[in-house]
Amino acid sequence: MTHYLLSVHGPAERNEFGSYGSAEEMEDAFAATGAFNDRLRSDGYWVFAGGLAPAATATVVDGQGATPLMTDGPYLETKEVIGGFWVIDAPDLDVALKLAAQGSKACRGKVEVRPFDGLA
Amino acid sequence: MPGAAAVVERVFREEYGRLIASLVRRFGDIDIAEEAAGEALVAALERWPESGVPPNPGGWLTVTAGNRAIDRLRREQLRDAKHRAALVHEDPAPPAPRGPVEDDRLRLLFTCCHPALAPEARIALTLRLLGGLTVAETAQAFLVPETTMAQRITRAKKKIAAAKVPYRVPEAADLPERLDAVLVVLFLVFNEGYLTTGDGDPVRGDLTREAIRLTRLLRLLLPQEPEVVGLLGLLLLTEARRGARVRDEQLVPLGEQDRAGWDRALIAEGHDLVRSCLQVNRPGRYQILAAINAVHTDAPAASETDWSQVVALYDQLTRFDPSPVVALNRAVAIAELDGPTAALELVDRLPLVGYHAWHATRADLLRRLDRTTEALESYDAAIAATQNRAERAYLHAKRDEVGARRSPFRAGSAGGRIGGGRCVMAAVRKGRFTADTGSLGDDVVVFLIGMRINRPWRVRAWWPVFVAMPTMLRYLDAHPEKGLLGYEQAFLPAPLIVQYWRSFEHLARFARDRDDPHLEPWREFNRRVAASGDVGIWHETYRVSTASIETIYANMPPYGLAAATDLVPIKRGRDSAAARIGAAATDEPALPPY
Repeated sequence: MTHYLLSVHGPAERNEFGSYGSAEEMEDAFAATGAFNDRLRSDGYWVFAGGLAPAATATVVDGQGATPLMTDGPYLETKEVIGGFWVIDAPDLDVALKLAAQGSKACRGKVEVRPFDGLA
Repeated sequence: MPGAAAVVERVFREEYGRLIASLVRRFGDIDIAEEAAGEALVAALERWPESGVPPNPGGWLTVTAGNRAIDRLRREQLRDAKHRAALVHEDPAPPAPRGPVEDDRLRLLFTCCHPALAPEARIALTLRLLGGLTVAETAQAFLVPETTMAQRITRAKKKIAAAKVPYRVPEAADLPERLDAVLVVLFLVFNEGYLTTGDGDPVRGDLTREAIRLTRLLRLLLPQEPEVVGLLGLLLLTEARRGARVRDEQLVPLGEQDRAGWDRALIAEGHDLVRSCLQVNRPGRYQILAAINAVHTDAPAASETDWSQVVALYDQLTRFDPSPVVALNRAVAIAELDGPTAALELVDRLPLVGYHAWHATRADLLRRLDRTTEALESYDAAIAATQNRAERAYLHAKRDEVGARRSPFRAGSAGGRIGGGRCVMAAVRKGRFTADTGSLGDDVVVFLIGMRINRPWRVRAWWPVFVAMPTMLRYLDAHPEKGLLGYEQAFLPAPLIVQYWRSFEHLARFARDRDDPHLEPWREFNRRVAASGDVGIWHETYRVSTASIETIYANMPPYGLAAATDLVPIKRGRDSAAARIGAAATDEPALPPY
């Protein structure tokens, strides 16, 4: 089995409905994502998942120098950022891609599939 | 045993796909499979010359490579996690069948054609791993530098390993969406075998047979899919003519082939397949191509070909594939139906100036129209655009045949001096010469312009860029007052043209003049291609004082700057480059001049 990071990419700018167009759309996406999460758990693929607070709440820390250097904001200022992710454990890429397609449909965002090189 | 090494090489080449595929299945890793196959080749080269080729050379290679892989894994298992994992994976028994067809090579084919890989990587990997082409040959087939191809293949292999692209035939539900990529690759593998891109064997039956074998397996998987049936029909009807296609190491075009040499069994099978497609009536690209080939193979003699049927099928094909290459093939049929004038009119409109078959078709049409000078030029251009030995031999023979109709010397060439009578069979001038830069003014402008095809797959994106340049060169050739003195061009590893201009002002004027054929393609490039990144273009301009140029042409025809000016013998006291460029007061060549 291989671990994969499924990261959801969406607009950095969020409104009162997150990255969705309306309250209804947001609720539908949340419900579908919840159902998808349940399926991941029951089918044994689930490792971990979470939604992220807006990119504006991020802080970049560079601890390589004598004193750590803090910078407000995300590492890269981009229009599209990671909004959330799943970590799954799947037998191969075909399974991971299929799950990513389901996750993408549920949360209504594009999903990047990237294998872990290893887990600590 | 004479020629044992050649036998080993041939067997290895033919068995490569099967060998790699079975090793990948056993050890679950492409790198390990390739290393072990390489070691088995070395072992065969050592042993077969003495012991003779074993009765089952493929089996020998498989067993030897498997043992080498296991030895290696045992040696290294404590050092390397990847190999440890592979050893755990080691599985000598074929897996339990999951679908209707189980075959290591079919499995590996689906891995190579996985949608998670870039399209250009899919065909490259397939040719490399299943076709046994070297990285250099694969690079040549794509007109990219070998290092680029090596990186592309390495990157794809790394992704397969790290992301765990599975080695298996997809399940029935997923097959249809995975199919197109596989069909394209199988057709390309067949084509590479039927007319190889490089200058090695002109035709490679091992590749055409392998493409057919895999297509047959695909059909067992998907018996109801008409495009699979169509592709198989197309490949069989084409393969049936392979034996008659090369004679005396020369390509023989369809119309001149000895039809008694065609494989009747393959033709009968192909015709059956085409008929079964017609019954399903869900036409597609490969089915129509198969039908066209059915018309050809149905004619007892070339003169009895039903060309109106062929044209009608090409019309239908155009709806699925409106590419200029299809239009070119349609024009060939039009030539038979409506004559060469009508066909030439169609051909001349196609943006295929860099494509050998376009030149060869034009050459043939011009020959039939007795436009000898232009025909000869087109044969030269076709010869320059292909590396296939049999095709070159055929084009040379045709060219000589046409050339014999007129005086032996004539104008026209792929490079040389603008506006002047250029000599195609430009005679080699024995001895040491230099360019007559004295005939230039104080300055000359050297302009390098080139392009890089970043995504060879996206032919329609880069063709217009590729073909814009020959159009410009023809125009400049006809208008010497524009200031281009001469040029040379090279197509490999990427198209590059060296131009010599009278002055920078001439060059700049041409680039910007609304009436010259540069501004429009430039605008078109910015509008359509620049953003996609499918094709890169570059240029470098050097304004050079003629006093700081030195040249030497030893046993060369007029070439480069000498073709743009004149070729003059090297003067006494000018034997060293330093003396010619004025960097040394005395003339001290490193070696005595010949």
